[in-house]
Amino acid sequence: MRRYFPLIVCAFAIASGFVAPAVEPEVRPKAEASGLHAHETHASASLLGQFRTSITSWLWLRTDLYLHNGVEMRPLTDQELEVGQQGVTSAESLHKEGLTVVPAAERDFRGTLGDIERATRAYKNMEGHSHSSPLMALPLYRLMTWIEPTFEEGWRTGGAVLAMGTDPHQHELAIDFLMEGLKANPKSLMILNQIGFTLAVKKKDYGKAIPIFEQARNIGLHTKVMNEADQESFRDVYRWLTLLYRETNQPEKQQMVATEGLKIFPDDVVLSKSGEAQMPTHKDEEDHHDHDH
Amino acid sequence: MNKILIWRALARGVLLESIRRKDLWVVAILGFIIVCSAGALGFFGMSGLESFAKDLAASVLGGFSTILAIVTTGRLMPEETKNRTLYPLVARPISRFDLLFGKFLGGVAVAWISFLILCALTALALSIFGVKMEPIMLQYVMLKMMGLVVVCAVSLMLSTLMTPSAAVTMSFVILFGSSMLSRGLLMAFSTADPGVAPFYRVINGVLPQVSLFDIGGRAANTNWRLVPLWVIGALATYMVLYSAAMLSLSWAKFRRQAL
Amino acid sequence: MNGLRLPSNCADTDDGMKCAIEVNNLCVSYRGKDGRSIQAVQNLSFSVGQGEVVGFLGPNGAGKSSTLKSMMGFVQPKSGECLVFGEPSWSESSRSRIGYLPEVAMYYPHLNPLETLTLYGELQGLRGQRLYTQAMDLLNLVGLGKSTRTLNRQLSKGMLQRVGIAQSLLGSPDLLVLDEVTSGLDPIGRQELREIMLDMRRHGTTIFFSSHELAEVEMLCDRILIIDQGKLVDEKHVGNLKSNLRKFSLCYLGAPQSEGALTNSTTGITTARFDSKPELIEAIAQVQSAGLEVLDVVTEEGSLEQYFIEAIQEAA
Repeated sequence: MRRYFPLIVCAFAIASGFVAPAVEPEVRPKAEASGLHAHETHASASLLGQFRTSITSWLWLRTDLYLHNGVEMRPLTDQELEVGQQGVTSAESLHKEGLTVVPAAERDFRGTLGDIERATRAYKNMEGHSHSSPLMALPLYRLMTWIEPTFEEGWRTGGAVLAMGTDPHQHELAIDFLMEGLKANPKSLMILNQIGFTLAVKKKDYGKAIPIFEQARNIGLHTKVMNEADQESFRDVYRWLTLLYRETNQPEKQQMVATEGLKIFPDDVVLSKSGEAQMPTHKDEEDHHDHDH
Repeated sequence: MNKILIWRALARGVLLESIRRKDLWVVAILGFIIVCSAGALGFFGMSGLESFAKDLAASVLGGFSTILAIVTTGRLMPEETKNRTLYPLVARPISRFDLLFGKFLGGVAVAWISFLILCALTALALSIFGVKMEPIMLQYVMLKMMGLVVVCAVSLMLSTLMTPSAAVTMSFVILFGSSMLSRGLLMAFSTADPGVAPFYRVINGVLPQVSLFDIGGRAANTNWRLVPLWVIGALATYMVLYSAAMLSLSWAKFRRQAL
Repeated sequence: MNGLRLPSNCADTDDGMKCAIEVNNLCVSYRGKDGRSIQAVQNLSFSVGQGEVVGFLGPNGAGKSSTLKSMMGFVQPKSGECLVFGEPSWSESSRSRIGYLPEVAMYYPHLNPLETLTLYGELQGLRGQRLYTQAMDLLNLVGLGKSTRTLNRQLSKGMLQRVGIAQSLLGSPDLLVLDEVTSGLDPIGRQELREIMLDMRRHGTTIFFSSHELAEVEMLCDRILIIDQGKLVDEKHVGNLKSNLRKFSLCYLGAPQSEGALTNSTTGITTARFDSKPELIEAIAQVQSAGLEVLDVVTEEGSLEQYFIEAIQEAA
């Protein structure tokens, strides 16, 4: 009998495994839905989410760095802004010059050590600087949206970078990329706006672009709280819709959307002049890209 | 007696202990992580990710090798005292400076070997994905090795003043924090009175300028020129002077320390 | 005895023996956990002649290790001096002539005995084949010939002590300073160590060691120094000490003939005790002249342990 004892124990263990689901409701009653997401109720999910967000933010910053060929830029400090406002030093001019983390020799107290740093770190005078081709950063956008699919900015910028130039195949790829982003963020005004822009401006397919912007308009109208970026996108949605309705000779709809938009954004000059607005020229298109970046 | 032979014997002892203690296994595991990470990058296609891959490699190499150097050197002297292996050493006809310097050289040797192993594994991983190696990479390796000497000196100095864990923690704070503090000083200086420059210079001079030895930013991005020779010479001088200052501080504490 | 300069066996003394160790008014103090200064050694003075074997005895916390550490330059004395072969103990040249075995010695756990000895030998100035041969000879001498490639961490405490003994003998030192030399050794190890020390002694090596094994001390030493609470309380040549510790008893039938003699009222036998032989001979003569019958003469060998305890109690 003793020889078979381990076998009996194993059999009991396996049997209890089968019985467990039957008794589970008794020992662990089903929790009522709290309406919270997994990351709000599970520490591990929250931790993983934090990790993903941090990695994505880091990648976002690195992308910016690569676009400047490794030269680290920095914004003005509060103190510098304050000094600028007081007019003691032209802080604004500092900004225009392209303020780098490693300072220029005239703003460096370190002497030789500063010269050494300018020779060893990726440093150059960034006054009127240009950027490296955003195409080189494309895999990074892919990487960051893979790690954090809810990172709308990554989808939007990645889509914009893909759609650069005049290659129709690239435009298709951009649409596919953005659609993938939309699947992960079905209520994203930012992504819808970018899809609509690509369809309207790059593919000149106004018929497909209008429903996308309408979808965005509908989402926006039902969204109670919006952050600054979403508000900006929502405003763009109205601008594009008025322009597209005008281009497709639908003056009533154009008027209606413009009026609705002006109720939400009363100071918007584009909307107020929407009746007279033209489709954007090539230059406007580039401006839009710059704005995106 | 030939001092070089004494230092070599002590350094060899440190290296042999480190190898036998399987410290280098940590390096191998880290190397494996690097290779796996490179594999993950390959999943997204390396085309266009060269800068990122090189930047990541430089950051990981820099971080891991600094951590290894701190942990190895920071433990050297306190563990000798704690494990009582110090007595048979100091009973020999060698000065306490010889002992410190020999141990320091051993720490540097361990840090360099670990770094070079990591470099080789990283280079292998990057080359599998077709990332081109440029001459500036060699400069990166050379300067980083010089920087590790400063790291070891700071860590050894702190280890003669405090317990091993405190020394390691303080080394991390000082070595990683000094570059942030330097940045802070530079930003503060942009709006400060020019008269305070000497004061700022003194604070900055005291801090170990390990970040100066890191040319990862240049190596990772494109079209950066090689670091000029005068800069390498200046950094070598800085390395010697700063390490000598750190060792002098260690010696000042250790030479009369009751064992 | 505090601060007393004992008759030296060396350095311009009558017998012309040169000094291996000279300790003059040595004071060593430590800072205690509460921040107060603790006097470990107070005005200690003694000397050890070349070729002598001297045992340094004292209870726990007496200041033996502090004295040895000061002699080795591990601790800076508060005042006084330690000279080894006429040079300050902290100097490299004096240490090149010393072999030292610490009280609790640990050796690098990831090196083997041969590598350990090679490392210390190189620091001692030995090189190449000479070093290898000497290291192997010493490891064979201490009985580790078969464990030269076994890592130190795999060795027993006793075997590690043997590694310690071997390393202290590297470079054929003129002076051996051994702190608690037999600790951790089994009886066979002790016997072997005793033989090594006797051999070293025959070759003229000066040996200065602290130990709690008084039998060991008795067998090996020419002289003992007893220290308590940081002060030297006694110093004796072991040869003289043995004769001093010897006691004699005389038993005879009849009334007591000397002061202190005790008579058993039942048997009528009187027993008298004497510290020296002349006293005994005189007493026998006295008894015989009184016409009494001498029944027995007993010689009792005194123990160093008893002497040590008495010396410490007297000092206290």
